[in-house]
Amino acid sequence: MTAVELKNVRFAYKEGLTVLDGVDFFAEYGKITLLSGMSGEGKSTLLSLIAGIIPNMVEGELHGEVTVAGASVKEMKTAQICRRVGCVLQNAELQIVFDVTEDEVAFGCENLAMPEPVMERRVAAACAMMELDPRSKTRTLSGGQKQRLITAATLAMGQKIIVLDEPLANLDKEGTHTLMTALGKLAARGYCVIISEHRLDMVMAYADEVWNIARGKVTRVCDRRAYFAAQAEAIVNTCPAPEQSAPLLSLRGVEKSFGKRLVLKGIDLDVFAGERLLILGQNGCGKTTLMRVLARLEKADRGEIRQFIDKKAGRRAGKRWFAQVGVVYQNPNYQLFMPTVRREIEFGAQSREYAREIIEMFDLRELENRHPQSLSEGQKRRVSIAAVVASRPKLLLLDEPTVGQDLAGLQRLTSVLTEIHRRDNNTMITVTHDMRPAQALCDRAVFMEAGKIERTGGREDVKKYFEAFAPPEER
Amino acid sequence: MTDLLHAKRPVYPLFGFAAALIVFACGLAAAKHFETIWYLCGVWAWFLLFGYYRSCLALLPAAAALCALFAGVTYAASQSVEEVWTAVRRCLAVCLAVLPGISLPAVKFTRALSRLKVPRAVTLGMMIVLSFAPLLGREIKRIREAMRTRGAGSLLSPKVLYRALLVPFAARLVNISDTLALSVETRGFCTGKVPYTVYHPVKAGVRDVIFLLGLVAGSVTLMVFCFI
Amino acid sequence: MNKKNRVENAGEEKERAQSVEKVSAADIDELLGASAEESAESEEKSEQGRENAPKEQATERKKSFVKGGVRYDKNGREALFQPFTVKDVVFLAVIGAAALITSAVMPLVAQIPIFGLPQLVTGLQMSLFPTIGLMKVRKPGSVLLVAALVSVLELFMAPAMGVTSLVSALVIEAVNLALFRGYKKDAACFVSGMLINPMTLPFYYLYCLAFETGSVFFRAAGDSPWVAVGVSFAVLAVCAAGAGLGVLISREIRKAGLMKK
Repeated sequence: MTAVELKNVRFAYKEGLTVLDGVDFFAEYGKITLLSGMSGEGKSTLLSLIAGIIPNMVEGELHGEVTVAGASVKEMKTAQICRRVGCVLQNAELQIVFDVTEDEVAFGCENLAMPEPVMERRVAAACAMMELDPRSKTRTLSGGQKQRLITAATLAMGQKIIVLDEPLANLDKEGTHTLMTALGKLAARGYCVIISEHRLDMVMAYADEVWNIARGKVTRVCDRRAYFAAQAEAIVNTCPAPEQSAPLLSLRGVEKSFGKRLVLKGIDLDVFAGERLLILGQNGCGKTTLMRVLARLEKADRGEIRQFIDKKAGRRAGKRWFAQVGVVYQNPNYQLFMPTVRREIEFGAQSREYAREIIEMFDLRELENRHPQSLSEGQKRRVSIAAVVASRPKLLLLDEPTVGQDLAGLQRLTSVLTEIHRRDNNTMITVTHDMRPAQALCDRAVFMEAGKIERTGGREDVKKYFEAFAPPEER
Repeated sequence: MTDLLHAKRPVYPLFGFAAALIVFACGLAAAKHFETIWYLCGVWAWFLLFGYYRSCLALLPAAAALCALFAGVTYAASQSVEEVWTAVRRCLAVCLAVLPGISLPAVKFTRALSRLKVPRAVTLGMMIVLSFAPLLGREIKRIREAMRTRGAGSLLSPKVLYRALLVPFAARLVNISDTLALSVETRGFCTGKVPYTVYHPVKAGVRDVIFLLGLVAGSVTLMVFCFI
Repeated sequence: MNKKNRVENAGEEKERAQSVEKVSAADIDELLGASAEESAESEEKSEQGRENAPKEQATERKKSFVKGGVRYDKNGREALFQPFTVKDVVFLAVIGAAALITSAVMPLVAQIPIFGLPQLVTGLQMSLFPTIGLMKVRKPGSVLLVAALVSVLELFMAPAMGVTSLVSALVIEAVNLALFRGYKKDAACFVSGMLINPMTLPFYYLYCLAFETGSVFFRAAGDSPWVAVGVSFAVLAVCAAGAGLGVLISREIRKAGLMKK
């Protein structure tokens, strides 16, 4: 039975950006429907339509018919839609209002004016389902637990249609399994579950239906293996292998913990000058912490870190250090502050001429007079990389640099980074989940698991690593 | 911040608030009289009796330090021992007035207000203010860190402060509030007059009434003793 | 009208509460199955409540009405007092939290006996953030709402400070209505944002007098009330700078398209 149906839907945001252009889509009760596609292609927009966020809370021009549980969203207010559709948004941390887990889970039930006994049962059930302690303090939860908490808060409301926007962003393998198994149970009980996710390797095995969204259109995927293979098509490496060189950074027995949680457990690693090092591993394995320790944004609790980048930089993470070490954040919003893209890139650039060159290389000429905060997430990412690269750092640290890039953008970004690497002979360390550019940004790979370096390898190992995630034909 | 000091069974929040006001007003008004110290000790013991162990004990070193500071400053300003004792009694009254607040989980206070028909927009807003303050503290830290990585580390320059800290922080505030507002609305929250229920509603009981009556009786006795 | 529908107080629910059994994790599947039916039941009840709301609105429509989140008066003109949306409340609360977290230094300086020093130290942030809030929300009552939200913490930590904030917010709203009739103009946001902290000074002075703490304050300042006057002017200057910065920042992020309604 159809739960959600979109017929010839076109949607453009108020600013004029057309995201959906003639979309036909449906999702049924009793199934998990996966909506896949790269960031920026309109997954969140489509889910916002189903959840009634568009047109009730986000303005834009909507044409076509969106039917949810037999009623048109155009005729319903948010208060009515939220009784039919449960919506789990991204960025769980920013949605937690209460101190105690059960209070957060009960919030939606209170809003739906549920009687207290019903609320008690729902809260207990949702917490048990998401493996959460109802009495635990929300502030002490890990990123994955917070994601599960926000999911529980929606499930407790009891709608028969649940949409989840990239819910696996902070979940490790176990967390993903817990969440997807719970969603599978709901689907088996006749719920309609719609999930948007670009990490196919994590969710495809659980999905009953797969849809792809690209260039404003949505298509149903029939051959999953072929689809997965096409999504995973790797960008070819064009950079020759580096010559044997001296270490630039040397780590011995490095440990780092946050509270009682030991995140890095005795890391031994040499980073050689002029190499491109790729760090791979599941969520929560310590990749980003390792990157932050390398960048001196975190201090290691134990162990020795020696740097051979700049003797005068000493052990401080001062201006001199960051003049040599460029760090690109996972979230570009923190690193952009100038009033125009051009000035953003000129800020740290060696000269105006070089900034101009970088603008051209990163294909930012058309955006150069725009305010960086007004750009899309993918564009912001490009600007933040360009701004850091413009200072010509000897060591470039990139944390998930490819998020929000479509295939063409990704190819361009990869080739620009490779060209700069070849020209400046810089050292690049990249953390990524994206299988497409992984081989093209790698001379040597480090595979991490539970805070330890399990092994190192080359491009072939990277290929095998991602191939191991290929999903089965059908659930 | 004060999770560890929360009482297991705090008194009805509005009575707690009333108690804070009474202690504050009576303590300050009668601070010049020596007898006030007995009143303040009695209030402390009364809180202890009603299960405020953690905050009562935690208050002792903090109050001692504050009293010493106040006493020192007052002596430096007035050279009068009498004024020093008055300052100490004032300081103790202020510290005791803080006690019900730091012992109370915020959600209990907002739930008590919800039962009194205070608009839900206000109670939700109060919860957000209390729970988002630490998150915003972390945001500021992240922006400061990002500033350093881009070579804009000094906050002494007004230009850098404006550009690299205040503008990104304001942009983050807008982003955060947009996400939170969407989340709250999709979880069925409305600002208008719509029906709602309260999870674990907070009501006043006999124990709470006894607490307040005891405190009022003590305060009236002090006032009579000092001023009549 | 809503009282009847408010499930919270219904006797029927009290009876149901007594019959509830504690649940264990093993019952999840059953609970989920049951919850779907209960959901439909409770939905029906609440929908009745919601249906009554429009009826009430319909009777009120002769006087004023709300369309697209904007309230109009009986003549169809935009009303002075606009309802706060969820987005407004959340933004003002986040702004309040930002002002609060950046003013964490206040309890420390509050111990230094110079009149107005706490206001001086927190002046910049207590004017900057509320001004940003006003520039986005632009509805009469915004200052009062921020004060009410922030004062919840102040009331428990220092009752006098909480009451002072609320009273001064009321005065600021009155001044705004008299001078600007709302926050449509940037100048109105600037003036109100600037006054938030200095407006507490007269009340703070009254508090010092009432509890005889004033004498100590002035004596420590060198037996001269002029120090207090000088600090008060400094507070005003710092708050003007904060409010000015708030207007500038708001204009910039509006240009970046972030200040959407």
